Amino acid sequence: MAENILTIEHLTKRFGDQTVLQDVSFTVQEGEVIVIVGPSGCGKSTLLRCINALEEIQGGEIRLRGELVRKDAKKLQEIRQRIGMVFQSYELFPHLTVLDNILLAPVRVQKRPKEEVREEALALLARVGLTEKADSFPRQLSGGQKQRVAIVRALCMHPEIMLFDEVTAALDPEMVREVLDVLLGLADQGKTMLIVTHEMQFARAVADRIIFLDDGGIKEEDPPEQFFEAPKTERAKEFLKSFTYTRKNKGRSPGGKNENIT
Amino acid sequence: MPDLGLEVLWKGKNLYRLLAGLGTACQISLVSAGLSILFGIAVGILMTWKNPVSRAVTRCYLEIVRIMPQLVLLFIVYFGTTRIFGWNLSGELSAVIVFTFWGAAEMGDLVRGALISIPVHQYESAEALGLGELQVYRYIILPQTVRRLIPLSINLITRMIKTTSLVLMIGVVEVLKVAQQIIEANRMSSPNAAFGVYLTVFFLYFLVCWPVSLLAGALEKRWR
Repeated sequence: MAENILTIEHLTKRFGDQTVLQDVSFTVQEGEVIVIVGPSGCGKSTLLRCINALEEIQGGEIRLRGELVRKDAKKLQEIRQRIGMVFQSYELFPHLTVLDNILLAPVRVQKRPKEEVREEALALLARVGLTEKADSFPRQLSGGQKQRVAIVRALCMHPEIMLFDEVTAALDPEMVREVLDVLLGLADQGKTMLIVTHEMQFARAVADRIIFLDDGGIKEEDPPEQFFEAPKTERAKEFLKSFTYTRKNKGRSPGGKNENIT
Repeated sequence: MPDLGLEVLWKGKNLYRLLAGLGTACQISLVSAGLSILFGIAVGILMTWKNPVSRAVTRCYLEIVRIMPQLVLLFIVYFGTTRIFGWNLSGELSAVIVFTFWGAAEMGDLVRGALISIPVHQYESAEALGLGELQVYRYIILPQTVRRLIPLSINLITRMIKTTSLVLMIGVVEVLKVAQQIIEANRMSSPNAAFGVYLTVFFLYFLVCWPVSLLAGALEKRWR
């Protein structure tokens, strides 16, 4: 049986009086791809931010291979190096070139030799089709290109788990695919990933397991086929319905014949 | 052409003295600007702290500097503190102290503005990569801050150069003082010298400040 990389137990997160996450527990196994879905404001992004200790938590615990992840943990920096995170708004460093963006943390934080990291970075850039952009500045890239660079930047740290926080939400539709293809490629290589997304088709294709989060709690945890074909809870059914569109009287009363209008 | 009294510049070492005076002015403003930038960064970082004490102190400091005319500050330091504490301050040193006191506050406010204009996500994505607090500042926040800051701070530096004209009031012989001396000495022989000499002073200030402004423009373009 595969090893548990991430264990979350009874996680509670509050902003002031407002409870955002309540008693959330789940585990992630090595090589597993988990997609977290749910309506806006259900706490998905907050959950990811807690896992990287960008948010303080008010209850429960998060462990990465047994080690406590907390904002005040002594080894927080070391733990964060083992968790890769990609944000919705890319957050490349605008004053550094693409290559320097990628090299910064491995060279300065992990103290790896620059040449070795450079080679790896270029190889990764090639894999996402951005070799010729290595010396460009972020402002010269499209949204989709920036997001691919952000993914490479996180990958270059050799994280044990990758967190993706709505990485396509800020992209134009035609750029969504180039980013999601990269994610699919990573899944195929056996990367352990936690993905928050609103792209349901993609979720279904990439996930080993779907976690449905609503009202700050896990309402369903299913293999994707089951979740999308036969969700157990009413909330999940409603949520999935919000992605399908139907027009009631399509085909009737084509232009001009307006017998229905009085 | 009317007599501008420019001929006094060629008398004796007058032009050389004028340039030396300009040198003194530049020296005071350069040293002060350098120190202002150094202290201003510290003040600016303090200003962004949520700690109410550091907020109150830096706030008061900034207000004092803004309300108090630089000339009053110069008098307080040069005439006031020397009397009370019994120490000896040269005019130049007093000027540097006052200009740094003034510059650090204004610079601090610029630094504060530049720092808070950097989105919180920049800090977070750097932290998420495992950078420590100091590394986040050193590699991510400060370089971006400096780029935003330089055009603004150059404006402060040119203002500082121009304000050195006040230090003649505490006995520093800078370009304006030399100009006055030259005019005084030639009042009988060239009564029109006031115009020519001050005109020269105007051009000298312009010659110093203009390249600085050009530099600001160029840097702004390059780092946009």
